[in-house]
Amino acid sequence: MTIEHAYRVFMGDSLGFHIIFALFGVGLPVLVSLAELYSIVKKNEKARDTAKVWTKIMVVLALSGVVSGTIISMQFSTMWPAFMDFAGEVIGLPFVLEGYAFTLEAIFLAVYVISWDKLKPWAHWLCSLPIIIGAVGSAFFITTVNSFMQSPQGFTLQDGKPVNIEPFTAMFNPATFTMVTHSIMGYLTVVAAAFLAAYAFMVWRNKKPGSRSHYLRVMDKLAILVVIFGAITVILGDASAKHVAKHQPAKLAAMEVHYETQRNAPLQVGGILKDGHLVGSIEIPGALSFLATGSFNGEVKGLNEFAVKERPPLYIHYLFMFKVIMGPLIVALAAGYLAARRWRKNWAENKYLLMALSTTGIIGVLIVEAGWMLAEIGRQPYIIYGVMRTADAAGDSKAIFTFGPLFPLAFIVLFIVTAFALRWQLKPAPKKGDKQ
Amino acid sequence: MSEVVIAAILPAISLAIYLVFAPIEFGASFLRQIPGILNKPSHLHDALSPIWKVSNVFLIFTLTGVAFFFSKATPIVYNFLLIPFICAMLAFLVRTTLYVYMFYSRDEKQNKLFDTVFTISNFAVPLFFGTVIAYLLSGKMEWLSLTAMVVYLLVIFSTILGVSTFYLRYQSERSNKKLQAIADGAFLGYITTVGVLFPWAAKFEMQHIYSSKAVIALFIIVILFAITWFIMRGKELQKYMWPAVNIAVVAVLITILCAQWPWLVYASISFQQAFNGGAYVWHIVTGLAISLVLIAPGFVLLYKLMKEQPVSKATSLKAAGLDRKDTKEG
Repeated sequence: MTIEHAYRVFMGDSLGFHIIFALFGVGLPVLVSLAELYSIVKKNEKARDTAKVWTKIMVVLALSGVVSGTIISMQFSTMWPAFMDFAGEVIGLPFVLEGYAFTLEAIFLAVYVISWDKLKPWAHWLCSLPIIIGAVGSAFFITTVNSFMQSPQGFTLQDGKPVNIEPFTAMFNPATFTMVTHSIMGYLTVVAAAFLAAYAFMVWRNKKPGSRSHYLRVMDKLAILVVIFGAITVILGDASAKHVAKHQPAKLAAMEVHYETQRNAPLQVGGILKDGHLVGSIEIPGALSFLATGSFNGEVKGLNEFAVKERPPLYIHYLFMFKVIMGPLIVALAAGYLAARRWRKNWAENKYLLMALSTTGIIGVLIVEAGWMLAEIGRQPYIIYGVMRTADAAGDSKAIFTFGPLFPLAFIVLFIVTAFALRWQLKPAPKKGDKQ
Repeated sequence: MSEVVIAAILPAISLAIYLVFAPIEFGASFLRQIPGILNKPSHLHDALSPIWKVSNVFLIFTLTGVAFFFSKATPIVYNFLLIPFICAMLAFLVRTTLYVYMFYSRDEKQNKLFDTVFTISNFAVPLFFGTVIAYLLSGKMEWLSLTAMVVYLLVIFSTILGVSTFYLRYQSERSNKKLQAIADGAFLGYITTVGVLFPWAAKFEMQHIYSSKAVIALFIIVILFAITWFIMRGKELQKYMWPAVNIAVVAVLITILCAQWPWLVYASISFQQAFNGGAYVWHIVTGLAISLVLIAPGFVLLYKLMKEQPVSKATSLKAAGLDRKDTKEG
């Protein structure tokens, strides 16, 4: 492993863990707020209890998320000196603004948590809005940095140094809209899917027979959210693919292992990579052209247009496939459940459907991971597309080999303990005198 | 005011806020180890409450602010700071993992080993940050330099002091000699470090600070707070201890920063040389003004709520007359 790879692996590993906390940090406040709003509008005490339980989960995840976020900020500062030198000048604005949004979120999260029994219901619900503004704002700002890395603008290069810097032009680059909206809607979908999965699991395993009908009603609402958020995410994903085709054609070509520039290009579904080509894939004629340009006759650039050292690794095809197949599948499962609840009640409680729904949470998280890796690995060999190579941005200290492996280990332990903490939080406290 | 000064002040304010709140939870782990304190579980619970994790946002803001505003320094300093930062990060992870375990676990018989590692990690985090501060002050990356040792002592005393005064604030209406003794000891250690050891270390390794008028200001601040402490030893005034001590700790930080000016890393890189945020520093200030409109009421509300007792009867939906659904389903 080269030093560059070591830096990439250990930064990627930290980000890979942090993104899980981050996606819940964005999606969960929305769910909690909606649940509390529902409880107030419908005057439903049970919905209020549900919102309280979800708040406990939000706190545990925020706790671990704040720390992983702190570590990410330290890693950026120390592991990517050349990137920081360049990016600090051009795209530092959203990084700092993200700090403000995060502060707003954290302060009101604390307010929200301790004021359940201290404020009137509407006043308490209002406190959830700044958390959402902060969480979504935070995701917005940090994603603009990533979109800048994909589609840099707002500066002129002079002897390798940026001049004539326009921070807002850098922030609002061609990739901003599709990346920000697709990411945030994706997070909302996945968080709703994760909760849908948890409730489906409890119904499937009949964890609390007395609460079964309540759980099913909660599942109804969550499934509606998955369908709405998921459908929007899929539409935005299509817009994102068109953006990639226009601004990062090498990435799209690698995603589809597409070598020759052609019109009516086929979409290759599935398959296994062998000697740089796909074996056993299903070809849908013209579908790649349609995906990339909106026309079956649109031209799609092939990998042969780019020098070998400018091409991203081809294994991103697997990430792309996982994302585009599993994403709509989650939405379809939620829609299927809703249809069953409407027309065939007993089908909705079918154990196979519940089993399938129970997996949507983990699959959703994996989709987010795959999407993030697709964006980052697909941009290689650049850290800032077309401007700075990853190899030039990384540090050169060999200490990374000694300390680097400790991070994934520490993150795994944190994850396991966080999972246990969630379990301890949700499990009713044993009453005194109860036998163990 | 120049853009560089503004860019230096913003993370400094954030750091000051962090230093006011962080010692409470860092120090609480230390207090866990002292027999007799644990019989106040509610206080310990308060000091280790997840709410204090909010303070981490100020650390993030400080790190991000310095890293981006002064990013020209990154290629020069990262090699020196990589190891202390990695150690701090790992200590952070260990601390959080054990915190999550200890705070949420229902196991009443806490594992002694975990407890000890948790306490060590609570001191390790500020100590590794102390190494970074020592590097910035002296321009030398030595783990056991004179400056580093003095900074470590300051960090330890500030940490113990922070939590001790927090407890004294709680105990203001009761007499608790043991707590007062801890706080007194920590404060005396702090005064000794700031008043004697710091200028002494400065004489040998940080001439720029020693020759600065800021050191005289530092002495005056320390003496003023020593007098304040002595006056406030009476039970009636103990509730003022927390703000007083925090001001003392922050005052020292500000004095050091002023004395350090114009060097980011002493005799190596100035703030001006490292400054890289000219294109957007005013946007940041505007953003801060806008966000303060939302953040400041949040702080006020949080402070008021922390003082209030729960009034659950008045705020449940049932009590408010909003509940119409029965909860028959169990």
